[in-house]
Amino acid sequence: MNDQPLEDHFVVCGWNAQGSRMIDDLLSVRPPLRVAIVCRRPAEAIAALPDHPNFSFWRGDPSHPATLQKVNVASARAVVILAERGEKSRTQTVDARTILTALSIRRLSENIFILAELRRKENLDLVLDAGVDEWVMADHFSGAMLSQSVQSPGLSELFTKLFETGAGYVLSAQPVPDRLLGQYFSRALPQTIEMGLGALAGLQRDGELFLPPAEDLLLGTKDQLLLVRPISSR
Amino acid sequence: MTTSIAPHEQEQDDASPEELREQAGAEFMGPGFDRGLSDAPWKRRAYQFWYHPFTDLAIFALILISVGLLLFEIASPTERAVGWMGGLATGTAEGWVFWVDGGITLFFVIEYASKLWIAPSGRKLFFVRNSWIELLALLPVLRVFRLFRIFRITRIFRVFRVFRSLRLVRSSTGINKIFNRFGAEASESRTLNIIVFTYFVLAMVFGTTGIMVFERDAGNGFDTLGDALWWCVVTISTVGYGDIVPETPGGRIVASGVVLAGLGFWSLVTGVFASALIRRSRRRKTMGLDILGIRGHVVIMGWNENGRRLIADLRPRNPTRHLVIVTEEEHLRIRPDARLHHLRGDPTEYEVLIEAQVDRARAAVVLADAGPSSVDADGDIDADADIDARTIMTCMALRRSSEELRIIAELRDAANYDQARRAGADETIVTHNYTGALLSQSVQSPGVNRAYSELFDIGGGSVFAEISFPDESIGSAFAEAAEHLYESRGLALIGLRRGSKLRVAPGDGPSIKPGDQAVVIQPLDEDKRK
Repeated sequence: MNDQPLEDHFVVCGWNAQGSRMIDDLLSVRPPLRVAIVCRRPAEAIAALPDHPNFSFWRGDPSHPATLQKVNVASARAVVILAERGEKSRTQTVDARTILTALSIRRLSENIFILAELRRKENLDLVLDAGVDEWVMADHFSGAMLSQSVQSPGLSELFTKLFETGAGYVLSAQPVPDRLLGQYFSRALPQTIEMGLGALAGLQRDGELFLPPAEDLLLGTKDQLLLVRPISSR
Repeated sequence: MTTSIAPHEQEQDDASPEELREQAGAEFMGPGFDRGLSDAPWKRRAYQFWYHPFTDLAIFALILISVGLLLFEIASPTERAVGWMGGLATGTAEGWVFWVDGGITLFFVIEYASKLWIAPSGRKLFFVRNSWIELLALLPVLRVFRLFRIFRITRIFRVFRVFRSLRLVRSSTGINKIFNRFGAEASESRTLNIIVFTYFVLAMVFGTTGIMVFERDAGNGFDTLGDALWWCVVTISTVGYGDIVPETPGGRIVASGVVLAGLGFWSLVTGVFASALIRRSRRRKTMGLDILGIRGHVVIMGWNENGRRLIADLRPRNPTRHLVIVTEEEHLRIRPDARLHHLRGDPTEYEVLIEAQVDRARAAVVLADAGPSSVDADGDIDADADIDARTIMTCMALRRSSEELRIIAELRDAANYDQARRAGADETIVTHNYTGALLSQSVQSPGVNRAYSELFDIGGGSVFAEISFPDESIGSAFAEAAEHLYESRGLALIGLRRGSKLRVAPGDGPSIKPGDQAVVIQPLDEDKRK
């Protein structure tokens, strides 16, 4: 285990099968990221806990500010709150836990990025009110993936590769490289491919998303490029 | 057909006399009633006679005659008691009525006794409970005491013949079944029928006797029971000729009651008919009668939460395409319409697939269906394996029904990928497991999750699609093709498929060849957004 104080790390609150895949993913990224998991269950109760120098396990209730302070949440890069299912907990209780954890995190840091796994879409507003920045829901996109596969044969492979951990492709957002600043979006398209950054899918500007932009835009410093790329290139 | 599992739907059209008999037997004696019959030939023979649809028909006719006789007796002006031999001897109408009615009653007694005898020993009480209407209809047999003029009170038992009209209701639903018409609907609304009929009879009894009590001696034309009956029918029907009119305060109160009862009666009748019609049309839908002859449709096998999103995503982009959902699930929380059909049945069964016309479908999506008794099976490895097993079985059944059909299967566990392919799935999506990757991509670059929402959420503005490269791009490098596709068509080129090989953003890639497919992100037109 890495003895450096935890800083610019990822904190994962709670544990489930999806979390395990995510952590494998995060640990495989270069340069390595540090991941701390805070969980109510003991480490022995969790199957397939990764054995990695950048990974640390902390037992405790993630909805308690004291526990969160132990993993230095205030200095973390981001927090992920997983929908942790207890033995018999109802889905509503799971989301309630998530909300409580988010509120505790917000007490310690106003600015940290919080990503939460949601169990019921009906609770979305409450979860956002609790200070969660972004949310993910298991199965939420499946219908659309299936539908797009019906329309275009072959897309299922793309989806599988986009969402399989460890191999395949990712969608990522990154600032515009200096070389492309001041250029038109259309001109940036071939260049990101030639530079090995990936295929340019769209861009994000002032909180607005263009997938791809309807009008050719000039790229500026505040823009984020959305790129689909093979996992190895970075 | 195996498309429906609800019990009332088993009483379907086209039932053979044998099946009708089985149904009637089970109705009165409970399931498994015939076990004791096989080693009792006489009982078996009696059963075959009494529960035969044609016997039912005859009984129906007898009840009709009996009720007709009752009406005749009420309407006949004489109050004279009929001597037990005298009537027959003098050949008067009353005498004939008495003997015919006595004969019919005797027949019903024999019928009831033999049915009770047929019922298995442990089920006699069960039988009595289920045949209470028949038992009530037997009460007029007590009139036999009148033969001996022991108790004058026995005249009251005439009234019990009214109960025979209840039996008419029960019997008529059976007759309907024989004629294959509203059979199922009628048996469903049997209780309603009985309520309506009882309501009518009670209103008639109340009106007729009530008006006689108050108006008989007032000289307003209510001289006989027949007059009162006539007035009551005219009033309940809301026609109201006004040929005879109650004048006494009591009579008017009774008349007001009858008028209100008449209004209520007609609303009841209308309600029963309307609900039967609605049920009928709903069943036509569930039975899939309205999907005969469609082609090029998309079949959705099985059902889960993703089904609704799948439909929300599929429909706006191709509004004229038919969608057929095949599942045992009854409540889908979607509204079927002219192009969205719900066929109830087990998607792994061959006959159900034939009914869904899968051989003429464009594509089939097999959803990971947890089955009717599913619980929140999240993370339960065994439950996931069960679900995938069903999905794979459905794929096999689909492949057996059609060689060309494109099959897309939703899997819970990526480990079953090969098996699904072997079973005939052309494509598989492991939807359950992508959350981990989604979480990791989102946490690494905030904003990515929004992009995925834009691509996959209901109301999103863009979709992934695969198209042919335009002719101008053939021979050019992938990077150039990307610029061209954006400028000419507003699409963002993501990857290239050559044969079965997919490559995303191949920087060093070879030039585009004819037959290559472009994988793009395509913004949706405003009107095609979900």
